[in-house]
Amino acid sequence: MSRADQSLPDGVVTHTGQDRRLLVFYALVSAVLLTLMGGLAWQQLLRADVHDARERQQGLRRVLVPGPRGRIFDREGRLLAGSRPRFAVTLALDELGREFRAEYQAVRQNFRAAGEKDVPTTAQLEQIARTSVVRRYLESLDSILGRQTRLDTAGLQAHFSEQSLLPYVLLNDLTPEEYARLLEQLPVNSPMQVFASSVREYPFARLAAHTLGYVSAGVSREVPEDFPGEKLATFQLKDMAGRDGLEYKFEEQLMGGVGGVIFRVTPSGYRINPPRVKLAPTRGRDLVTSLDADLQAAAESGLDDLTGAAVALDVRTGEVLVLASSPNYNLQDFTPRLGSAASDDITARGAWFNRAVTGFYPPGSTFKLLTSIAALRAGVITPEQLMDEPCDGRIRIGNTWKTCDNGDGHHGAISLSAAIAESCDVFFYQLGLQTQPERIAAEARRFHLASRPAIELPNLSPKNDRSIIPEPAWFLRTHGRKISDGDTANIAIGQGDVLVTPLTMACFAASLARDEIFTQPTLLHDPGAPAQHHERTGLTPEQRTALLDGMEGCTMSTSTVIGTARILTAPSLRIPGLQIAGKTGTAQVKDRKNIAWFICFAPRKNPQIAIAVAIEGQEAGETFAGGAYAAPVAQKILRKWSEKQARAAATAGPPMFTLPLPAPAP
Amino acid sequence: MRFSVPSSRAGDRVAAVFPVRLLNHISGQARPFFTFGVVALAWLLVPAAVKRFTRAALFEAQAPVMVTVERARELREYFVLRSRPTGELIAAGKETANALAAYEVGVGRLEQLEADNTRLRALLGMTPGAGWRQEHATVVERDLSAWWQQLVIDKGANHGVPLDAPVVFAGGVVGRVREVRAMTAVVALVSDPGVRFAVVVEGDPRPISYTGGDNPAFGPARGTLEFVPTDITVTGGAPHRLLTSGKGGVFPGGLPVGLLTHVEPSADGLFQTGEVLLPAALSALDEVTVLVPDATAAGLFVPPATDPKP
Amino acid sequence: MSRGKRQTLALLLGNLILCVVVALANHTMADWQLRLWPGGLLVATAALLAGPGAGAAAVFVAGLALDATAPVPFGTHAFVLLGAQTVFYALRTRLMRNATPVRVAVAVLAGVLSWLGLAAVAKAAGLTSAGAGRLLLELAATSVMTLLIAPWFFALQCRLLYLAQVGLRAEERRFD
Repeated sequence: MSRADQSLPDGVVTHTGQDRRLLVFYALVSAVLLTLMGGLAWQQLLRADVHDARERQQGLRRVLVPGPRGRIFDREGRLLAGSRPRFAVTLALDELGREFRAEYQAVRQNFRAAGEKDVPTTAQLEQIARTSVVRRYLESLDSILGRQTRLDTAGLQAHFSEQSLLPYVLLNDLTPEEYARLLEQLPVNSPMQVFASSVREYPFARLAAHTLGYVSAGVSREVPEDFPGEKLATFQLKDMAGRDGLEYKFEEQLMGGVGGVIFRVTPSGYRINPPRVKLAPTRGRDLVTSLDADLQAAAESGLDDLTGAAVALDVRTGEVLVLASSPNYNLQDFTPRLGSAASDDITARGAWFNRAVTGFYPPGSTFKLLTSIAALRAGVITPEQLMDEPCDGRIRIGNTWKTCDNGDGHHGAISLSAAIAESCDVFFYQLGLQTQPERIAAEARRFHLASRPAIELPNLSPKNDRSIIPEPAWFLRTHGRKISDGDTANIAIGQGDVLVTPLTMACFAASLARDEIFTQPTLLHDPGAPAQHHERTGLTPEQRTALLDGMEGCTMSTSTVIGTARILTAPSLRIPGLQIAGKTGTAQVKDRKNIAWFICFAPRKNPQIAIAVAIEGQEAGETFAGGAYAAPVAQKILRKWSEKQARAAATAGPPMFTLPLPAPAP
Repeated sequence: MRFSVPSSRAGDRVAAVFPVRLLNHISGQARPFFTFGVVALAWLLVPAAVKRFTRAALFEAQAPVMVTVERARELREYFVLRSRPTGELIAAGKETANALAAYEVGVGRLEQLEADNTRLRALLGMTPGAGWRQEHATVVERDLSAWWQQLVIDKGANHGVPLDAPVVFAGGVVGRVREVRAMTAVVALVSDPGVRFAVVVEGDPRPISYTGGDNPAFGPARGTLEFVPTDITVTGGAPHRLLTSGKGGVFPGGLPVGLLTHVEPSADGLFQTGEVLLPAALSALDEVTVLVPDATAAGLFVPPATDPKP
Repeated sequence: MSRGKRQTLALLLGNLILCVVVALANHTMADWQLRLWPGGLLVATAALLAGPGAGAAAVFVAGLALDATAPVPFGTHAFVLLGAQTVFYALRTRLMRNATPVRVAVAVLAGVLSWLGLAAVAKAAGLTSAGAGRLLLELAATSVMTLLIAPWFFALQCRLLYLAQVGLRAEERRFD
């Protein structure tokens, strides 16, 4: 046996098991050893974290995950934009080093064995090896899922050269069934793992597309400064960011807070659980818009294949209930990213523009309301007074004959109310000339028609606000001539150079409803929002009654007059029990498409909803009356609105606008 | 021990003498550790196939012992029963007979329903998925460690038990067949950290990832859920029942797995992670049933495999 | 058959019997989610009294037998046990290794050592485990079990060695 054994002093043997003092000594030694081992156990099992933290930083990796984006709800708590998980299978390339090497050797051997003269370079061989290994994994996936997938070799190479330490996405957009199959059939420790990311989801697809806006993926978030491990190898998953509409305007609020984990990896690159540091990403805050999905849907179904916009406001608070623009696009096409074909299609249809706020149209006859107010306030006319010259279909102004396009010359001598109701141009030519252009322009500015109202949408700076309310100085500046009577007559009926947006006119309608000069629109819903209050219009009760009589007459006329009002006389378009004060309009633009207008508020007493609709004509010069095209859209909105009102009253449950909303994330 | 060099030829001797001298130099207490290192190195060089074979052989060698021990345990049960008074046994027999009668009625109804189901599926043009043959097995060894949780059962390749087959018992899922030997098979329990499958919360179709693990001493086994949708909440008094999804291709659907007792937001912020309480009976199983996929067998249906995508 | 081989077989038989008994105990205790680890007892006699090759072989093969039924890389148990055996083999000339209390103490210590080794290997291999509470509890239970059954097990081993005609008394004389 070993020398050590043989050289032992004999004394040890003679004392075996006999000396009690020695036994005590052994017990002591054992106790000490046990204590030491206990200590080792303690360190190994319970304090492992502390020791691991002291390990080399190279063994640590940091993975940053963007927090989920906040959701957007309508005023009744319906989800307009949310986030949907998207399942993918990823392949951890950093775990395959050994496999790549083995494959590389095999490939090289094959080339040599085949005796080919031009053996590929090392880099090429590596590439072949990688591709075939990854393809093998993809094939194993395919056999589980029973599908055929083509390996994106170029994408794989790009991934390798740029971010080989991040998992490579083998398959994306798994169905729940595929996801379930992979969960069950992939080994728990396989380098292929199911991975979830989030994509934006728009349950209503096209609804309020322009207003909601869209997001684009591939954005790197800034890492918060207090996030530990800034020197570690970091992998950051890309986030998405708003690019238009509310998604863009409220980016700061909607975007989630970056979270992440720092975990240790074994020398071979395997991740060791649990992670050292784990910071949960935070969900972005939710946004509750003032839109009403029902009304918005009604408006969009009304607009359908027309080109135009519809805006509806809550008269009391100025909250925007509807902000629709047509043509629009499907927001679902933007997730995960918009294809070039879909993008070209949107461009071709001219669907990028939000016509409700970027469509500048002459307001046509709807402007007559403003002319009336200017005249009434200037004392040019009284409610009972008839116009000097009765309407026989045309009137000579300056050197030209101007026609009355409505009523075929049957208006005769009428009062203001009737002129509004039947939209008599001849009446308003004269009224405009009597009121003077300066007064009309001043009144329009007083009603904030000269500029687009501010609203929570991006790219609406005063610079691209093309609203125009012409006045003598403007004429001199722009056309280099004095304003003529013909110009004034045109302005009086909202033609010529006057340009406003549908949103402006909706605000105007809401202001009229409250008998005030301004309404500040907003896209944010506040259940406890106070009523807006601005300067009163200054009309006497009689004057206001005359104005509203005219507006109601416009919508309720039972006379056989033809023109702007005729469509609304059809019984099918009436809304029982609802008194609507409105004004149709048709802006005839020379050599350009006509614009059909309708603005209104309802009910006449205690108004609650104000609407403006503008529709572009399809072809230049065609007859395109507001009553025929724009009013039905408003009517659809109103019908839906009154239905909802009736239902709310019937259920007598919680009031309509204070339905429980999901609590916004803190 | 001392190493010597066979002294056949002078040339060899010169070549071999140095390492042997080195070996002899490593003396006393260092030598056992040196030997340990050499054995470890040698082990690394053993081909994987040899290791696999050795492992299988060693397992097969132990299998009869395990089965014999189990039989001895049954024998003990037998004698325990024999020591009971006859009256008690007769009463138990009567009770069993009653239960059997009730079950027979139930089976008749089930057969009727199954026939209806098959007919209706045929009418709807649904292809019946692969059925399952039930293979009942006795647990011969329970091995529930801190790192793995498994059973050895007394049915194996000889009874057609395939790898990865689902194993169930009266209370739901037991686990999956991890290893198949000639006469025995190893079943990884649902509480094993290596077992993962798709489950659903009762009444909700969305598949959720279930993984076993974290089994504290003196407590029922546990598992974890990943990818739990955020709208699934758990209130203290009413945990959700978890069932197999039936969509994963391994487990038939609708088998109870456990109770979802707790959820918390997960690291990615998109989902929640959940804690699953597994049935207590899981760690004291005596009889289990292996579901052997069998196209000809009726009974449990699984949805057909997803169609190949173009 | 050579003396060393008989010794190995006798020790191995004892070890395998112990494995079966402990597996039986674990089977019964499964309901408590507690698992005993026989490592210390497998190692003690082989490390302290057996011939160098014989003891190591007995321990290694017993370890492989444990490996065969566990979902770990084949050889894990074998090398953990062999490591513990090596440590106490190297120390044995300094221990009063014929005294039963010493052998019991070595069994407990070897049990703890090999168990920690196993835990470390499992951790490094990325095997997820139960919480530290369970691990410590199992360690304690294992130590108590070792303490309680070690004398009986040593007697069994003694008996087996005598039956194989390689009685420990002869070994003791021979080695000391």
